[in-house]
Amino acid sequence: MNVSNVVMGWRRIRKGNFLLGSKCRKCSKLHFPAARLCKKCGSRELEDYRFKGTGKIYAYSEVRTASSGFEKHVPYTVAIIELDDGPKMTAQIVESGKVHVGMKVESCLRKYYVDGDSGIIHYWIKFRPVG
Amino acid sequence: MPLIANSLKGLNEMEGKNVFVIGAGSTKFGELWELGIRELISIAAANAAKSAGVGLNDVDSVFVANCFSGIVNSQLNINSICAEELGVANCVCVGGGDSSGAHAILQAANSVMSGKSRIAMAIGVEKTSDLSMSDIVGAVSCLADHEYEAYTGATLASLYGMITQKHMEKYGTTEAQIASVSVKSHSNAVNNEFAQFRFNVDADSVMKSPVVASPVRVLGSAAACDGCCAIIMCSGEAARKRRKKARLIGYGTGNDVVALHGREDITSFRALKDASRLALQDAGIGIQDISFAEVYDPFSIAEIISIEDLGISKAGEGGKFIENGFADIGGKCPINPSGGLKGCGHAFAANGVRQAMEAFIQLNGDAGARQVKNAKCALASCMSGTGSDAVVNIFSNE
Ligand SMILES: [Zn+2]
Repeated sequence: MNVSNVVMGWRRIRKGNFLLGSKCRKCSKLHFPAARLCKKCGSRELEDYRFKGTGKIYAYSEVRTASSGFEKHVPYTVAIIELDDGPKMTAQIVESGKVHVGMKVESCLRKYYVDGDSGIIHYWIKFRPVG
Repeated sequence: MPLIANSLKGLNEMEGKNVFVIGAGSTKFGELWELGIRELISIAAANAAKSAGVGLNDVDSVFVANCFSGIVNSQLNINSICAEELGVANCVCVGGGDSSGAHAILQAANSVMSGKSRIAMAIGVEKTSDLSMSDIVGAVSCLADHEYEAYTGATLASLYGMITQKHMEKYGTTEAQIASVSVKSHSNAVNNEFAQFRFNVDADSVMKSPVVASPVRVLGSAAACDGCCAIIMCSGEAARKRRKKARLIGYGTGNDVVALHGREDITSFRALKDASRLALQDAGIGIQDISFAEVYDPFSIAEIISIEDLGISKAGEGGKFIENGFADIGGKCPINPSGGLKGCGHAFAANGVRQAMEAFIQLNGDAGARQVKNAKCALASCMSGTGSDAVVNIFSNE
Protein backbone atom coordinates (compact mmCIF):
# COMPACT_ATOMS: atom_id res chain seq x y z
CA MET A 1 0.00 0.00 0.00
CA ASN A 2 1.26 3.49 -0.81
CA VAL A 3 0.99 5.35 2.44
CA SER A 4 2.93 8.52 1.59
CA ASN A 5 -0.24 10.57 1.25
CA VAL A 6 -1.38 9.42 4.67
CA VAL A 7 1.96 10.28 6.20
CA MET A 8 1.96 13.68 4.49
CA GLY A 9 -1.45 14.18 6.03
CA TRP A 10 -0.09 13.46 9.49
CA ARG A 11 2.68 16.03 8.95
CA ARG A 12 0.28 18.65 7.69
CA ILE A 13 -1.71 18.45 10.87
CA ARG A 14 0.02 21.13 12.84
CA LYS A 15 1.28 20.14 16.25
CA GLY A 16 -1.29 22.37 17.95
CA ASN A 17 -4.12 20.42 16.44
CA PHE A 18 -2.97 17.27 18.17
CA LEU A 19 -3.36 19.15 21.42
CA LEU A 20 -6.83 20.44 20.75
CA GLY A 21 -8.95 20.28 23.87
CA SER A 22 -11.80 22.34 25.22
CA LYS A 23 -12.58 25.11 27.66
CA CYS A 24 -15.79 25.45 29.66
CA ARG A 25 -17.65 28.63 28.83
CA LYS A 26 -19.17 28.74 32.30
CA CYS A 27 -16.32 27.98 34.71
CA SER A 28 -13.24 28.16 32.39
CA LYS A 29 -12.08 24.65 33.31
CA LEU A 30 -9.76 23.25 30.62
CA HIS A 31 -10.16 19.70 29.34
CA PHE A 32 -7.86 17.39 27.42
CA PRO A 33 -9.00 15.57 25.39
CA ALA A 34 -11.95 17.73 24.35
CA ALA A 35 -15.01 17.08 26.51
CA ARG A 36 -18.74 17.44 25.84
CA LEU A 37 -19.58 17.70 29.54
CA CYS A 38 -17.58 19.92 31.91
CA LYS A 39 -15.95 17.73 34.56
CA LYS A 40 -16.01 20.57 37.08
CA CYS A 41 -19.40 22.28 36.81
CA GLY A 42 -21.40 19.92 34.60
CA SER A 43 -22.00 22.53 31.90
CA ARG A 44 -22.43 21.32 28.33
CA GLU A 45 -21.19 24.56 26.80
CA LEU A 46 -17.56 24.12 25.84
CA GLU A 47 -15.35 25.68 23.17
CA ASP A 48 -12.12 24.62 21.45
CA TYR A 49 -8.88 25.28 23.27
CA ARG A 50 -5.34 24.66 21.99
CA PHE A 51 -2.83 23.58 24.60
CA LYS A 52 0.72 24.95 24.55
CA GLY A 53 2.20 21.49 24.95
CA THR A 54 4.51 22.18 27.87
CA GLY A 55 4.29 20.65 31.28
CA LYS A 56 5.95 18.38 33.79
CA ILE A 57 6.00 14.67 34.52
CA TYR A 58 3.41 13.69 37.14
CA ALA A 59 4.12 9.94 37.10
CA TYR A 60 5.89 7.52 34.76
CA SER A 61 6.56 3.86 34.12
CA GLU A 62 9.12 2.08 31.97
CA VAL A 63 7.36 -0.58 29.90
CA ARG A 64 9.26 -3.87 29.44
CA THR A 65 6.34 -6.08 28.37
CA ALA A 66 4.47 -4.28 25.61
CA SER A 67 1.17 -4.61 23.77
CA SER A 68 1.20 -6.00 20.26
CA GLY A 69 2.59 -3.35 17.90
CA PHE A 70 4.92 -1.91 20.53
CA GLU A 71 7.15 -4.97 21.13
CA LYS A 72 10.05 -3.58 19.09
CA HIS A 73 10.17 -0.40 21.14
CA VAL A 74 10.82 -1.88 24.60
CA PRO A 75 11.89 -0.56 26.94
CA TYR A 76 10.03 2.72 26.50
CA THR A 77 8.67 5.19 29.02
CA VAL A 78 5.04 6.23 29.30
CA ALA A 79 4.08 9.08 31.56
CA ILE A 80 1.22 11.18 32.82
CA ILE A 81 2.13 14.76 31.96
CA GLU A 82 0.66 17.62 33.92
CA LEU A 83 0.25 20.34 31.28
CA ASP A 84 1.12 23.89 32.33
CA ASP A 85 -2.44 24.86 31.40
CA GLY A 86 -3.86 22.39 33.91
CA PRO A 87 -5.12 19.03 32.65
CA LYS A 88 -3.10 15.84 32.59
CA MET A 89 -2.51 13.53 29.61
CA THR A 90 -0.69 10.26 28.88
CA ALA A 91 2.16 10.05 26.36
CA GLN A 92 5.59 8.55 25.77
CA ILE A 93 8.76 10.32 26.85
CA VAL A 94 11.60 10.48 24.29
CA GLU A 95 15.09 11.90 23.91
CA SER A 96 15.73 11.65 27.60
CA GLY A 97 18.16 9.88 29.88
CA LYS A 98 16.86 9.30 33.37
CA VAL A 99 13.28 10.46 33.81
CA HIS A 100 12.03 11.88 37.11
CA VAL A 101 8.76 13.12 38.57
CA GLY A 102 8.55 16.88 38.18
CA MET A 103 10.81 16.92 35.07
CA LYS A 104 9.88 19.74 32.67
CA VAL A 105 8.89 18.52 29.21
CA GLU A 106 7.58 19.81 25.90
CA SER A 107 5.56 18.12 23.17
CA CYS A 108 6.92 16.96 19.82
CA LEU A 109 5.40 15.04 16.91
CA ARG A 110 6.74 11.47 16.74
CA LYS A 111 6.05 8.08 15.23
CA TYR A 112 4.11 5.72 17.53
CA TYR A 113 3.85 2.51 15.59
CA VAL A 114 3.46 0.95 12.15
CA ASP A 115 0.59 -1.29 11.06
CA GLY A 116 2.49 -4.33 9.78
CA ASP A 117 5.31 -4.17 7.22
CA SER A 118 3.71 -1.74 4.81
CA GLY A 119 0.80 -0.27 6.74
CA ILE A 120 0.02 3.17 8.04
CA ILE A 121 2.50 4.87 10.33
CA HIS A 122 0.78 6.31 13.37
CA TYR A 123 2.04 9.69 14.55
CA TRP A 124 1.07 11.52 17.70
CA ILE A 125 2.42 13.66 20.47
CA LYS A 126 5.35 12.53 22.61
CA PHE A 127 7.18 14.64 25.18
CA ARG A 128 10.89 15.42 25.50
CA PRO A 129 12.87 17.20 28.21
CA VAL A 130 13.02 20.99 27.95
CA GLY A 131 16.52 22.47 27.50
CA MET B 1 -16.09 15.01 38.33
CA PRO B 2 -19.74 15.62 39.22
CA LEU B 3 -21.17 12.21 38.43
CA ILE B 4 -24.82 12.54 39.26
CA ALA B 5 -25.90 10.15 42.02
CA ASN B 6 -29.32 8.96 40.97
CA SER B 7 -31.63 8.00 43.78
CA LEU B 8 -31.10 4.29 43.35
CA LYS B 9 -32.81 2.21 45.97
CA GLY B 10 -30.81 -0.09 48.21
CA LEU B 11 -31.73 -3.70 48.88
CA ASN B 12 -33.34 -2.75 52.17
CA GLU B 13 -35.77 -0.43 50.46
CA MET B 14 -36.89 -2.98 47.92
CA GLU B 15 -40.01 -5.05 48.00
CA GLY B 16 -38.71 -8.63 47.91
CA LYS B 17 -35.45 -7.73 49.55
CA ASN B 18 -34.40 -11.23 50.55
CA VAL B 19 -32.12 -12.73 47.98
CA PHE B 20 -29.81 -15.67 48.61
CA VAL B 21 -26.97 -17.54 46.97
CA ILE B 22 -27.83 -21.23 47.31
CA GLY B 23 -25.12 -22.82 45.22
CA ALA B 24 -21.82 -22.09 43.50
CA GLY B 25 -19.67 -23.96 41.02
CA SER B 26 -16.55 -23.41 39.00
CA THR B 27 -14.06 -24.81 36.57
CA LYS B 28 -10.46 -24.86 37.65
CA PHE B 29 -8.73 -21.56 36.76
CA GLY B 30 -5.66 -21.72 34.55
CA GLU B 31 -4.48 -22.46 31.04
CA LEU B 32 -7.21 -24.88 30.06
CA TRP B 33 -6.04 -25.85 26.58
CA GLU B 34 -8.61 -28.58 26.12
CA LEU B 35 -11.64 -26.44 27.02
CA GLY B 36 -13.37 -23.81 24.86
CA ILE B 37 -15.78 -21.15 26.05
CA ARG B 38 -18.76 -23.51 25.63
CA GLU B 39 -17.24 -26.27 27.73
CA LEU B 40 -16.24 -23.77 30.42
CA ILE B 41 -19.84 -22.51 30.67
CA SER B 42 -21.23 -26.04 30.76
CA ILE B 43 -18.91 -27.28 33.49
CA ALA B 44 -19.32 -24.30 35.84
CA ALA B 45 -23.10 -24.15 35.41
CA ALA B 46 -23.49 -27.88 36.05
CA ASN B 47 -21.30 -27.63 39.17
CA ALA B 48 -23.30 -24.66 40.46
CA ALA B 49 -26.64 -26.40 39.86
CA LYS B 50 -25.36 -29.53 41.58
CA SER B 51 -24.14 -27.49 44.55
CA ALA B 52 -27.60 -25.87 44.84
CA GLY B 53 -29.41 -29.17 44.39
CA VAL B 54 -31.41 -27.85 41.46
CA GLY B 55 -31.58 -28.90 37.85
CA LEU B 56 -30.58 -26.55 35.03
CA ASN B 57 -34.23 -26.87 33.97
CA ASP B 58 -35.20 -25.07 37.18
CA VAL B 59 -33.16 -21.98 36.26
CA ASP B 60 -35.45 -19.24 34.94
CA SER B 61 -32.80 -16.82 33.77
CA VAL B 62 -29.05 -16.63 33.30
CA PHE B 63 -26.95 -13.46 33.47
CA VAL B 64 -23.64 -14.15 31.77
CA ALA B 65 -20.63 -11.85 32.08
CA ASN B 66 -17.72 -11.88 29.66
CA CYS B 67 -14.99 -9.42 28.73
CA PHE B 68 -12.89 -10.60 25.82
CA SER B 69 -14.69 -13.22 23.76
CA GLY B 70 -15.19 -10.71 20.93
CA ILE B 71 -11.46 -9.99 20.76
CA VAL B 72 -9.98 -13.35 21.76
CA ASN B 73 -12.47 -15.96 20.64
CA SER B 74 -14.13 -14.02 17.80
CA GLN B 75 -17.40 -14.94 19.41
CA LEU B 76 -20.15 -12.54 20.42
CA ASN B 77 -23.67 -13.45 21.53
CA ILE B 78 -22.35 -15.34 24.54
CA ASN B 79 -25.90 -15.31 25.91
CA SER B 80 -27.04 -17.45 22.98
CA ILE B 81 -24.08 -19.76 23.55
CA CYS B 82 -25.27 -20.04 27.15
CA ALA B 83 -28.83 -20.79 26.09
CA GLU B 84 -27.58 -23.48 23.76
CA GLU B 85 -25.27 -25.07 26.32
CA LEU B 86 -27.59 -24.86 29.31
CA GLY B 87 -31.00 -25.22 27.73
CA VAL B 88 -32.24 -22.04 29.41
CA ALA B 89 -34.26 -19.74 27.20
CA ASN B 90 -33.72 -16.46 29.05
CA CYS B 91 -30.00 -15.67 28.93
CA VAL B 92 -28.75 -12.10 29.10
CA CYS B 93 -25.23 -10.74 28.45
CA VAL B 94 -23.74 -8.44 31.05
CA GLY B 95 -20.95 -6.51 29.40
CA GLY B 96 -18.41 -3.95 30.54
CA GLY B 97 -14.99 -4.65 31.88
CA ASP B 98 -13.57 -7.12 34.34
CA SER B 99 -16.10 -6.16 37.02
CA SER B 100 -18.92 -7.50 34.82
CA GLY B 101 -19.12 -10.74 36.85
CA ALA B 102 -20.09 -8.72 39.92
CA HIS B 103 -22.63 -6.81 37.82
CA ALA B 104 -24.13 -10.11 36.63
CA ILE B 105 -24.77 -11.01 40.27
CA LEU B 106 -26.68 -7.75 40.74
CA GLN B 107 -28.76 -8.43 37.64
CA ALA B 108 -29.57 -11.94 38.85
CA ALA B 109 -30.46 -10.53 42.29
CA ASN B 110 -32.70 -7.88 40.75
CA SER B 111 -34.41 -10.50 38.63
CA VAL B 112 -35.17 -12.56 41.75
CA MET B 113 -36.26 -9.56 43.82
CA SER B 114 -38.62 -8.31 41.14
CA GLY B 115 -40.25 -11.72 41.07
CA LYS B 116 -39.37 -12.16 37.42
CA SER B 117 -37.17 -15.17 38.18
CA ARG B 118 -37.71 -17.81 40.81
CA ILE B 119 -34.20 -19.10 40.33
CA ALA B 120 -31.51 -17.08 38.55
CA MET B 121 -27.92 -17.85 37.68
CA ALA B 122 -25.01 -15.42 37.47
CA ILE B 123 -22.10 -16.75 35.49
CA GLY B 124 -18.76 -15.22 34.48
CA VAL B 125 -16.60 -16.78 31.79
CA GLU B 126 -13.26 -15.93 30.24
CA LYS B 127 -11.04 -17.73 27.75
CA THR B 128 -7.76 -15.87 27.14
CA SER B 129 -5.10 -18.57 26.81
CA ASP B 130 -5.50 -18.78 23.02
CA LEU B 131 -3.63 -15.47 22.67
CA SER B 132 0.09 -14.67 22.65
CA MET B 133 1.45 -12.56 25.53
CA SER B 134 1.60 -9.31 23.53
CA ASP B 135 -1.94 -9.85 22.22
CA ILE B 136 -3.20 -10.43 25.77
CA VAL B 137 -1.43 -7.25 26.93
CA GLY B 138 -3.05 -5.44 23.99
CA ALA B 139 -6.51 -6.84 24.71
CA VAL B 140 -6.25 -6.02 28.41
CA SER B 141 -5.18 -2.45 27.64
CA CYS B 142 -8.65 -2.00 26.08
CA LEU B 143 -9.87 -1.81 29.69
CA ALA B 144 -8.08 1.55 29.90
CA ASP B 145 -8.83 4.54 27.64
CA HIS B 146 -7.98 3.15 24.24
CA GLU B 147 -7.64 6.43 22.36
CA TYR B 148 -5.68 8.35 24.97
CA GLU B 149 -3.83 5.72 27.01
CA ALA B 150 -3.45 2.42 25.13
CA TYR B 151 -2.74 4.23 21.85
CA THR B 152 0.46 5.66 23.36
CA GLY B 153 1.73 2.21 24.30
CA ALA B 154 0.56 2.43 27.91
CA THR B 155 -0.26 -1.04 29.20
CA LEU B 156 -2.46 -1.75 32.20
CA ALA B 157 0.70 -2.76 34.10
CA SER B 158 2.31 0.61 33.33
CA LEU B 159 -0.79 2.49 34.49
CA TYR B 160 -0.75 0.51 37.74
CA GLY B 161 3.00 1.21 37.76
CA MET B 162 2.21 4.92 37.93
CA ILE B 163 -0.38 4.34 40.66
CA THR B 164 2.26 2.39 42.59
CA GLN B 165 4.85 5.13 42.09
CA LYS B 166 2.48 7.81 43.41
CA HIS B 167 1.44 5.66 46.38
CA MET B 168 5.09 5.05 47.30
CA GLU B 169 5.86 8.76 46.89
CA LYS B 170 2.87 9.95 48.95
CA TYR B 171 2.79 7.34 51.73
CA GLY B 172 6.21 5.70 51.70
CA THR B 173 4.77 2.31 50.73
CA THR B 174 7.73 -0.05 50.30
CA GLU B 175 8.75 -2.77 47.82
CA ALA B 176 8.67 -5.24 50.73
CA GLN B 177 5.07 -4.31 51.59
CA ILE B 178 4.08 -4.71 47.94
CA ALA B 179 5.80 -8.12 47.84
CA SER B 180 3.90 -9.23 50.96
CA VAL B 181 0.66 -9.14 48.93
CA SER B 182 1.94 -11.88 46.59
CA VAL B 183 3.40 -13.93 49.43
CA LYS B 184 0.04 -13.98 51.24
CA SER B 185 -2.04 -14.60 48.11
CA HIS B 186 0.07 -17.53 46.99
CA SER B 187 0.03 -19.03 50.48
CA ASN B 188 -3.80 -18.88 50.52
CA ALA B 189 -4.10 -20.29 47.00
CA VAL B 190 -2.21 -23.41 48.03
CA ASN B 191 -5.40 -24.53 49.78
CA ASN B 192 -7.82 -23.56 47.00
CA GLU B 193 -8.57 -26.43 44.64
CA PHE B 194 -9.75 -24.05 41.90
CA ALA B 195 -6.62 -21.86 41.95
CA GLN B 196 -4.01 -21.82 39.19
CA PHE B 197 -0.95 -21.01 41.31
CA ARG B 198 -0.96 -23.42 44.24
CA PHE B 199 2.60 -22.84 45.41
CA ASN B 200 4.32 -20.53 47.88
CA VAL B 201 6.61 -17.67 46.91
CA ASP B 202 8.92 -15.75 49.25
CA ALA B 203 9.30 -11.98 49.37
CA ASP B 204 12.82 -12.10 48.02
CA SER B 205 11.88 -13.91 44.82
CA VAL B 206 8.92 -11.54 44.32
CA MET B 207 11.24 -8.52 44.62
CA LYS B 208 13.78 -10.11 42.26
CA SER B 209 11.25 -11.18 39.62
CA PRO B 210 11.49 -9.36 36.26
CA VAL B 211 9.96 -5.91 35.86
CA VAL B 212 6.87 -5.81 33.61
CA ALA B 213 6.42 -2.03 33.78
CA SER B 214 8.34 -0.23 36.53
CA PRO B 215 7.93 -0.65 39.43
CA VAL B 216 5.48 -3.53 38.77
CA ARG B 217 7.06 -7.00 38.68
CA VAL B 218 5.91 -10.30 37.22
CA LEU B 219 5.18 -11.81 40.64
CA GLY B 220 3.23 -8.68 41.61
CA SER B 221 0.89 -9.08 38.64
CA ALA B 222 -2.01 -11.49 38.21
CA ALA B 223 -1.69 -13.68 35.13
CA ALA B 224 -4.52 -13.75 32.60
CA CYS B 225 -6.13 -17.18 32.55
CA ASP B 226 -9.20 -19.18 31.55
CA GLY B 227 -11.99 -19.84 33.97
CA CYS B 228 -15.70 -19.88 34.55
CA CYS B 229 -17.67 -19.55 37.73
CA ALA B 230 -21.41 -19.61 38.42
CA ILE B 231 -23.74 -19.02 41.35
CA ILE B 232 -27.43 -19.82 41.80
CA MET B 233 -29.69 -17.25 43.47
CA CYS B 234 -33.27 -17.37 44.74
CA SER B 235 -35.64 -15.54 47.06
CA GLY B 236 -35.70 -15.84 50.83
CA GLU B 237 -38.90 -17.85 50.66
CA ALA B 238 -37.33 -20.43 48.35
CA ALA B 239 -34.11 -20.51 50.37
CA ARG B 240 -35.82 -20.94 53.75
CA LYS B 241 -35.38 -24.67 54.10
CA ARG B 242 -31.90 -24.79 52.67
CA ARG B 243 -28.94 -25.57 54.84
CA LYS B 244 -26.26 -24.02 52.60
CA LYS B 245 -26.90 -20.41 51.74
CA ALA B 246 -25.56 -16.87 51.91
CA ARG B 247 -27.74 -13.78 51.85
CA LEU B 248 -26.86 -10.76 49.74
CA ILE B 249 -27.40 -8.05 52.37
CA GLY B 250 -26.12 -5.02 50.50
CA TYR B 251 -24.57 -3.80 47.32
CA GLY B 252 -23.19 -0.64 45.80
CA THR B 253 -21.68 0.43 42.52
CA GLY B 254 -19.48 3.35 41.51
CA ASN B 255 -17.83 4.89 38.48
CA ASP B 256 -14.92 7.14 37.64
CA VAL B 257 -13.45 8.50 34.41
CA VAL B 258 -11.84 5.72 32.40
CA ALA B 259 -8.41 7.33 31.95
CA LEU B 260 -6.09 7.60 34.91
CA HIS B 261 -4.89 11.05 33.81
CA GLY B 262 -8.46 12.36 34.14
CA ARG B 263 -8.46 11.86 37.91
CA GLU B 264 -7.33 14.34 40.56
CA ASP B 265 -5.73 11.70 42.76
CA ILE B 266 -4.51 8.30 41.59
CA THR B 267 -3.61 6.92 45.03
CA SER B 268 -7.19 5.93 45.78
CA PHE B 269 -10.16 4.65 43.79
CA ARG B 270 -13.11 6.99 43.94
CA ALA B 271 -15.44 4.46 42.29
CA LEU B 272 -14.58 1.89 44.97
CA LYS B 273 -15.08 4.39 47.79
CA ASP B 274 -18.53 5.26 46.43
CA ALA B 275 -19.47 1.61 45.91
CA SER B 276 -18.37 0.53 49.38
CA ARG B 277 -20.09 3.44 51.13
CA LEU B 278 -23.35 2.58 49.36
CA ALA B 279 -23.00 -1.14 50.02
CA LEU B 280 -22.27 -0.75 53.74
CA GLN B 281 -25.12 1.73 54.09
CA ASP B 282 -27.40 -0.67 52.25
CA ALA B 283 -26.41 -3.56 54.50
CA GLY B 284 -26.73 -1.36 57.58
CA ILE B 285 -23.31 -2.37 58.87
CA GLY B 286 -19.87 -0.85 59.35
CA ILE B 287 -16.66 -2.12 57.81
CA GLN B 288 -15.64 -3.48 61.26
CA ASP B 289 -18.54 -5.95 60.99
CA ILE B 290 -17.11 -7.89 58.05
CA SER B 291 -15.30 -11.17 58.70
CA PHE B 292 -13.14 -11.04 55.58
CA ALA B 293 -12.94 -9.43 52.15
CA GLU B 294 -12.25 -10.60 48.64
CA VAL B 295 -10.77 -7.66 46.72
CA TYR B 296 -9.53 -6.91 43.22
CA ASP B 297 -5.77 -7.42 42.90
CA PRO B 298 -4.65 -7.53 39.25
CA PHE B 299 -1.53 -5.74 40.52
CA SER B 300 -0.50 -5.68 44.18
CA ILE B 301 -1.06 -1.95 44.67
CA ALA B 302 -4.76 -2.45 43.85
CA GLU B 303 -5.15 -4.71 46.89
CA ILE B 304 -3.28 -2.26 49.11
CA ILE B 305 -5.43 0.67 48.00
CA SER B 306 -8.62 -1.41 48.22
CA ILE B 307 -7.88 -2.12 51.90
CA GLU B 308 -7.56 1.64 52.43
CA ASP B 309 -10.56 2.71 50.36
CA LEU B 310 -12.82 0.14 52.01
CA GLY B 311 -11.77 1.62 55.36
CA ILE B 312 -10.16 -1.61 56.60
CA SER B 313 -6.99 0.42 57.23
CA LYS B 314 -6.29 4.15 57.21
CA ALA B 315 -5.25 5.80 53.93
CA GLY B 316 -1.62 4.98 53.21
CA GLU B 317 -1.46 2.05 55.65
CA GLY B 318 -2.71 -0.78 53.43
CA GLY B 319 0.81 -2.02 52.73
CA LYS B 320 1.69 -2.06 56.43
CA PHE B 321 -1.61 -3.87 57.16
CA ILE B 322 -0.62 -6.76 54.91
CA GLU B 323 3.06 -6.75 55.94
CA ASN B 324 2.01 -7.04 59.60
CA GLY B 325 -0.05 -10.15 58.85
CA PHE B 326 -3.39 -8.46 59.59
CA ALA B 327 -4.69 -9.60 56.18
CA ASP B 328 -3.71 -13.25 56.73
CA ILE B 329 -6.32 -15.93 57.38
CA GLY B 330 -6.46 -15.63 61.15
CA GLY B 331 -5.49 -11.94 61.01
CA LYS B 332 -7.62 -8.92 61.95
CA CYS B 333 -9.39 -8.92 58.59
CA PRO B 334 -8.38 -11.66 56.15
CA ILE B 335 -8.04 -10.36 52.58
CA ASN B 336 -8.41 -12.71 49.62
CA PRO B 337 -8.48 -16.02 51.49
CA SER B 338 -9.15 -17.62 48.07
CA GLY B 339 -5.75 -16.44 46.85
CA GLY B 340 -7.27 -13.52 44.94
CA LEU B 341 -6.61 -12.84 41.29
CA LYS B 342 -2.92 -13.39 41.92
CA GLY B 343 -3.25 -16.88 43.35
CA CYS B 344 -6.34 -18.06 41.49
CA GLY B 345 -5.46 -16.52 38.12
CA HIS B 346 -7.08 -13.47 36.54
CA ALA B 347 -10.14 -14.63 34.60
CA PHE B 348 -11.56 -11.11 34.11
CA ALA B 349 -15.37 -11.41 33.92
CA ALA B 350 -15.27 -14.56 36.06
CA ASN B 351 -13.59 -12.74 38.98
CA GLY B 352 -16.70 -11.16 40.48
CA VAL B 353 -18.56 -14.46 40.49
CA ARG B 354 -15.55 -16.31 41.89
CA GLN B 355 -15.45 -13.84 44.79
CA ALA B 356 -19.12 -14.54 45.52
CA MET B 357 -18.38 -18.27 45.38
CA GLU B 358 -15.64 -17.78 47.97
CA ALA B 359 -18.13 -15.89 50.16
CA PHE B 360 -20.64 -18.74 49.80
CA ILE B 361 -18.04 -21.41 50.62
CA GLN B 362 -16.57 -19.51 53.58
CA LEU B 363 -19.92 -18.46 55.07
CA ASN B 364 -21.05 -22.09 55.05
CA GLY B 365 -17.83 -23.25 56.70
CA ASP B 366 -16.71 -25.33 53.74
CA ALA B 367 -13.34 -23.73 52.99
CA GLY B 368 -11.23 -26.43 54.66
CA ALA B 369 -7.63 -25.38 55.29
CA ARG B 370 -8.28 -21.79 54.19
CA GLN B 371 -11.43 -21.38 56.34
CA VAL B 372 -11.81 -18.01 58.05
CA LYS B 373 -12.91 -18.76 61.65
CA ASN B 374 -16.42 -17.62 62.55
CA ALA B 375 -16.99 -16.17 59.08
CA LYS B 376 -20.35 -14.40 59.29
CA CYS B 377 -20.14 -11.57 56.83
CA ALA B 378 -18.16 -11.35 53.59
CA LEU B 379 -17.41 -8.32 51.44
CA ALA B 380 -16.54 -8.76 47.75
CA SER B 381 -15.16 -5.76 45.89
CA CYS B 382 -14.51 -5.94 42.20
CA MET B 383 -13.20 -3.30 39.80
CA SER B 384 -12.56 -2.77 36.14
CA GLY B 385 -9.47 -1.49 34.33
CA THR B 386 -7.66 1.01 36.54
CA GLY B 387 -10.67 1.36 38.83
CA SER B 388 -13.09 3.18 36.53
CA ASP B 389 -15.90 0.88 37.65
CA ALA B 390 -16.48 -0.78 41.00
CA VAL B 391 -19.02 -3.13 42.54
CA VAL B 392 -19.18 -4.07 46.20
CA ASN B 393 -21.38 -7.00 47.25
CA ILE B 394 -21.87 -7.96 50.90
CA PHE B 395 -23.02 -11.43 51.94
CA SER B 396 -24.07 -12.78 55.33
CA ASN B 397 -24.93 -16.20 56.72
CA GLU B 398 -27.39 -14.75 59.23
ZN1 LIG C 1 -17.43 24.12 33.78
